[in-house]
Amino acid sequence: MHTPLSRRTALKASGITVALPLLESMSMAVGGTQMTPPKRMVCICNTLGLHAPSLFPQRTGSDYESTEYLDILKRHRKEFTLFAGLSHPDQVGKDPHDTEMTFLTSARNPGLGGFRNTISIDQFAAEKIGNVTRYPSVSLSSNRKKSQSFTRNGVMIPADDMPSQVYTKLFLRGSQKEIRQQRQRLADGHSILDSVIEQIRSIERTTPSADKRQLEHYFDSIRVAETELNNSEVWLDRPKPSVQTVPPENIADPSDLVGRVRSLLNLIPLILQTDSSRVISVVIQSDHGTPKIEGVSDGHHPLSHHGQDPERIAQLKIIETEILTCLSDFLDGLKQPSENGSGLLEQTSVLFGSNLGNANAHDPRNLPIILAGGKHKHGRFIQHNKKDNVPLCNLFLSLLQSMGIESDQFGSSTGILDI
Amino acid sequence: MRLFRYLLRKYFVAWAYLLATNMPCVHAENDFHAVENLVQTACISCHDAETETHLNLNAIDKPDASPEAFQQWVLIFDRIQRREMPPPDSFVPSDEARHAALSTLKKELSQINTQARKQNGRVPSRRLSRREYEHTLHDLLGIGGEIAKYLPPEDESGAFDVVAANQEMSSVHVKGFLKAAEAALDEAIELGPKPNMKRELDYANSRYMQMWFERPVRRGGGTVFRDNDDLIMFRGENYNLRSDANGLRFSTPGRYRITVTGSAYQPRSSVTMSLKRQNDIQGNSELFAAWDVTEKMRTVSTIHYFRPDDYFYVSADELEPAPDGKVIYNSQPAREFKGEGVRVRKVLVEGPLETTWPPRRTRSLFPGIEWEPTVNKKSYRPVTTKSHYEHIRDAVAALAPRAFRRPVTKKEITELTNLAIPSLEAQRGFIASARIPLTAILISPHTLLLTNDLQKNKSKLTNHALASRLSYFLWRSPPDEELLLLASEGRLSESNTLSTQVDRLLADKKNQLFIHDFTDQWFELDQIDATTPDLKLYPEYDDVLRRAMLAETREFFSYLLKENLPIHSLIDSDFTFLNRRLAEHYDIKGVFGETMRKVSLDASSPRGGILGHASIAKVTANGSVTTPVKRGNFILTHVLGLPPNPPPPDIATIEPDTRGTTTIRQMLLKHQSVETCARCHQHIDPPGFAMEGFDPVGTYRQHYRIGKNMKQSLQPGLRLKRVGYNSGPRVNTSGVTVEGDVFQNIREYRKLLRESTKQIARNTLSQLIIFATGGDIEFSDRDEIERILSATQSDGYPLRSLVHHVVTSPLFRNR
Repeated sequence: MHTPLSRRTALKASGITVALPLLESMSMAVGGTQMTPPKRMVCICNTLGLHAPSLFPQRTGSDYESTEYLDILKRHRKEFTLFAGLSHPDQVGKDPHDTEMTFLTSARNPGLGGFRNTISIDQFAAEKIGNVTRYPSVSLSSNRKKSQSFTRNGVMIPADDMPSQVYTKLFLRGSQKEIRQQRQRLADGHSILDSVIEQIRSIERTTPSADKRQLEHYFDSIRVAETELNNSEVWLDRPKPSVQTVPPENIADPSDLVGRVRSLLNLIPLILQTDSSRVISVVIQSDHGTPKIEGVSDGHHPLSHHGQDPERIAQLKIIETEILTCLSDFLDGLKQPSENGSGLLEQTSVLFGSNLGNANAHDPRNLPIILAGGKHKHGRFIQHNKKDNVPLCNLFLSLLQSMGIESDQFGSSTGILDI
Repeated sequence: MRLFRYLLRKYFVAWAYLLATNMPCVHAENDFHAVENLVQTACISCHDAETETHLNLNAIDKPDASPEAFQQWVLIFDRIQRREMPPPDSFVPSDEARHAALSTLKKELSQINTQARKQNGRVPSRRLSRREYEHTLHDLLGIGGEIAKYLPPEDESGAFDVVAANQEMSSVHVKGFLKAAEAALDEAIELGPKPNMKRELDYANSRYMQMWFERPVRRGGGTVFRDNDDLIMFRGENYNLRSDANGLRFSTPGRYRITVTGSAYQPRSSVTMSLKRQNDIQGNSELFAAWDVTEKMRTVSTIHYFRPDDYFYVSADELEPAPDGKVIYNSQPAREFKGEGVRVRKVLVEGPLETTWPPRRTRSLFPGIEWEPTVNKKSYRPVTTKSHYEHIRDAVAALAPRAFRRPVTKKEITELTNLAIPSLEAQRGFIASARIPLTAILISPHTLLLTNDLQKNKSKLTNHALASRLSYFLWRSPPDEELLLLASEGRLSESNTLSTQVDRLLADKKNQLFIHDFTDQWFELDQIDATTPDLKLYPEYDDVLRRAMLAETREFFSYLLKENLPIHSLIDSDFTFLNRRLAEHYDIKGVFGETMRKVSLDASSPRGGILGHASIAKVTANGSVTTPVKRGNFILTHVLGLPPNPPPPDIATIEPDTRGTTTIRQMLLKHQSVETCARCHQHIDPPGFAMEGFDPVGTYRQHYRIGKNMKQSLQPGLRLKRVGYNSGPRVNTSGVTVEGDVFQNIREYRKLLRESTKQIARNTLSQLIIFATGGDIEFSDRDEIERILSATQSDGYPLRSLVHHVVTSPLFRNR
């Protein structure tokens, strides 16, 4: 029945023409053996929540009734699950929007004295599966450089907010000068590490009683670090996948929220399909102005504080409908076949949600969370306890495990969910 | 859990040591006869295969057979020596037999231990911990700010970060060190244009603030208003006030002086005006200054290190709601609100505080180079007087001896400088080329490792290794010129010189790094943010209190050290260190202002000694509840140095019943009736009961606070507070120690604890030795510890003397 599509056919069908060789990590696979489809992850956060009454149905399970917002995602009904009653514990912070920093990490009390962020789920995944792609992870934001990706030491990885720059970074060959500079940086690293190795050897020679075990450890660690540097160098020599699409244009107007979100999301199928990265995070954030959308006359943030005013709620819903439409179109984009013929969406877990459950009151509990793709059990609405939420990290942990990442703990997780 | 991992680790360490040496069998069968004799007469009836005890003495190997056996024999030795075994109700051996067995066993164990160490000593080498590396980069490059975060966290196995056996090294560390070194050099080499050194953050007239003055509450405004040229604020932690949004950014890293003029607005009592720094990229924030203000205008200033991504804001704490209970959000406009606020008149930012430009730190990195502005005035460039290579050589020759903590050979300097050659040949410029050897120095094994080099044919450390060990012990930083000079002259190892240097190091302000890092790890103060108390139950807990809590313990410890007070003061003293905020928290009258100072305590006070410190109450609490188990464990482990065995793995922990129906004591008593539990809990629970009087934030309580089904309401008192709790069952702080002594409360328990002064001194001394040398205490170190204890016994084991004894001890001076 099923004839696997050839790569080229698959790509043609996707509407994007890509010149071979393109699937970067595939070319690293040995001797043409069939690769199991890779697991990928996209985390999208809409930082101002979703108006809960328009989103959540009454009936739980697989025969949930559709709602105003779920209607927008109707054609994907079998490909996603909606969760209620999930949140991170202890999210009282300084600024009520500081939970933006912890949506993917679950670190407690963001912004309060002595606060330290922890590793985000995307970086956790990137640590484990990011080494085979040119970019271990990609962090995008619709406005400003603030991402939700934090390293193991709690340091933010700045987001790219200009689609054209992302495109350039991923798909265009750098100028000779840029490549030279990168090569030089790597060469500097090598010569520094080489000199350190020389010094270790000299300690061993001159102080025979020195602690061999420790020196050997240091020595081995440097060797591994050098190998990792070499890997970066390999990517430097490998041509980037050349995709024959028109490079996206940056939308300079910060108030064109929808345009900006759409152009960023449009890049993602391209990034996944070329296997440039398998881990992507996206922050949807408005600037302080009024979004350019018909029928909206106030800023996104002020509207999120609607104070139950029906007029303002109506405007907020216009914005949120646009954002959910972007999500729906994005899921369509992922239904294109991937390199081995199966749909990209089947290999890609898409987590869409918000750090605020009720932005009107800055409530960081009862978050709206949608999990799509990734071959999970879908078509369901799962309601957890509203008063006593289940840690969102239980979902994160399940997600990581489903990607083959062995771990029995992530952030504030207390267990796993059935996904 | 930390403790359990620690014990496991400790055990593997011993194993590693024993495996490292291919040991000959050191004991003769005859010698061991006394031990076997005792075992057969007094132990075997309970400890054989048939009995239920864990230990089977018929199956146990001789101590030299395996690390497991060695550790087991050490435990047997300890239990017989402490007369815990055999138990009093069984056959008690004669003193003679007991003594004979103990001395044989001791000789045997010491010999095995000594043999294992013969080749490498106690601590052949260790690397700098991440904190030490940060202090080192600060010291070498004249920079500030957090750098440790580039490195992976240290193993938290309950010991100190310096313990060599626990230190890890991986490619992540290597890349981390590289990254940290590069970031540090970025900050050290400052060649940007000279910044405007004096700026004002004019909140009242800033355009950004204007927006918030006008906006209604539901759009984020309404918590501030403008009164002439003053800003009035009714909410702390107010992002409206961030410096960057109000037009003040830090263009270059450095130390800045911030001067604030302000007062309390509509105060019922004094309020706190504070400064906080935040960095969204680095993902951290901190309160770095706080002052008490009244209605009278006050001008205060502080100096702090800022980086370009940092911003700060004026904040306010302890603001009370209006007398009718209204908060700012429901009494608009802000002008009409009757609650407490802060009036900010002027914020002046001076800095970076540099006397020259480019700053001194950049100049001293490149000795002999002058700097001139480039044509476009956007940066500075070096004015060279000889070849770039020679200038780089000068920079290497200046930095390497300080980083390596010893004289550096010409060959080493040449080899390092040569790293710049390819870059110089590629014409990449002076700075880019110089950075390569400088980075190499900063991640060199000579910098990262304390190799503990030995004098020729001796077991003593070289003078330079001694200088490093000493300065990393008492400063956590590399040795300064004076120490290096003494080392080069070969004089540091003279006992008098060493003693004088200890006093000099203790008097220097860098000693604060020791106080900070040592108390952070010994008393787990670094865990203060591990849990967060419920805001409704403990509304008094905030950043300002947290800061004062930590300061109390640090200043107290620092004072014991400075004044050389007897070690019993650590647990029982008639003074402590307080400021107004903490004194109020302790319900002690007559302390005014934000400065910490020594305060005498009444005999009736539950305070005095670290067990009465709110910081200790906080780190030993589980968020919003306390358990005697955790606190008892803290006292046994950290104060007495007698950690209880970890619970059997299948036992669930006891959590307090927060509904308030059963007290934790009732639950524990039930627990104590089970014999296997009771064996350890009779030791653990009593000290925990004595500390039960302190709630999770260190308030001395008569009743538990119960928050279930409580709405927040206004509590009148010294300060009007919104609280969400009711008074629950009465707290019982009495108990009976395992020795059978009855106590009613912490005061009485402290007196009983004074009986254990020698054990507390033994533990303090052991902790100092571990921290100073990077090596855990092992069996053969015990004699030296007992010697120091005897030498200091008549003075009550005073703290500073203990430090002196540690430094002059062979444990410190030998590898």
